[in-house]
Amino acid sequence: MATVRIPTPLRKYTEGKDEVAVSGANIRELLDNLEGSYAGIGERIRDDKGAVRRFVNIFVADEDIRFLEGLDTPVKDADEVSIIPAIAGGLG
Amino acid sequence: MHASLAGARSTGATARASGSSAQFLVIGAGGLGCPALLGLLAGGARRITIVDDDLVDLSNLPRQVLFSAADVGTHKVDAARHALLGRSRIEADASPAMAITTVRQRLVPEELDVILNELTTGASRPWVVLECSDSPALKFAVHDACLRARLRVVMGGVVGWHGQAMAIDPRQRDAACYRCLFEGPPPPELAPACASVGVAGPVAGAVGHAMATLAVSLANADAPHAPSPAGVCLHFDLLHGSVRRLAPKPRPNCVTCSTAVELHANTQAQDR
Ligand SMILES: [Zn+2]
Repeated sequence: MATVRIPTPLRKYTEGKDEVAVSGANIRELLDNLEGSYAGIGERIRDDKGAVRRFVNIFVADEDIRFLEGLDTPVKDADEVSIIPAIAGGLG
Repeated sequence: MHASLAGARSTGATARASGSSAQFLVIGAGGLGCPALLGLLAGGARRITIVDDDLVDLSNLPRQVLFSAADVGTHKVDAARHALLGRSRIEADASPAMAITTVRQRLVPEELDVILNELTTGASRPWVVLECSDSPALKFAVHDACLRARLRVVMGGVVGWHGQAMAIDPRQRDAACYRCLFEGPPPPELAPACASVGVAGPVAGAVGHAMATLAVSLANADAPHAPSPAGVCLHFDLLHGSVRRLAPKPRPNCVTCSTAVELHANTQAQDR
């Protein structure tokens, strides 16, 4: 199983866990399985057409999946998958 | 840490000298803006413009470190200017003299092109913008307006224990912009408000200082063979003590990059 790093805003779906182990041969399967284990997290990452949302980036190891094979990017057991949203908050 | 962040091996003295030649525009004098301003001062910046329309509130004091209890109720830009001038007084004889300009204004996306044009027209020195506001929509709008105006910009944001700081230089076509990395802002319903998620106070300090370091480094990048942090996004996860360097490739279909290229096709030809 790959290790998925969960960003702060999504940890409310993972019982506060900052990383979870998820299986899947590619990113699409991995995101499906992530939603299976933690209901509600999927729609924060993908839109209703299944595409990764515009303010979210997914990295396998240190590579942006948009420059690999997108959602079809293969995932190995030892891989670390990071979900990185635009952090656009501040402190007025 | 500063030396490696800036990609510079310069000594403190030369780093200060280089920071002094640019004009920095800090948008937002809050939790990110305060540490960013202190970082600019430490980096040798001598000319700073600060934009904010907010007043200092008692609740700001723990994290908006330029303000004291006596400032409550006054304009943040004025209190920040006063604090920075007080800290640079020891260098009163230094040349050039410290010049801090304030703009009491709430920026709205529709007016950014005009405001940036008014502020920067006629200035021969390089401008570097630091985006320290608390609104995702405004952040993206400031980024896009800076690229249209061909200004270097450093983006910053914080949530929880996480933060990001990214340096963008529209003159460097081989370096990604913020929208090459993130195509659009999170919609309001999905953007966690800081009030609900919270921000670990020191994270804002770390990110604000990183932004200042990147800004000084971007200002230095004009020197021959100078390293540039353009296109690099530092992703902080300070709960795990991790700082990750993301250096995305420019996205071929990035609308912001291609608009900037179209607008400045002539200028870029002259640069070469
Ligand atoms: Zn771009």
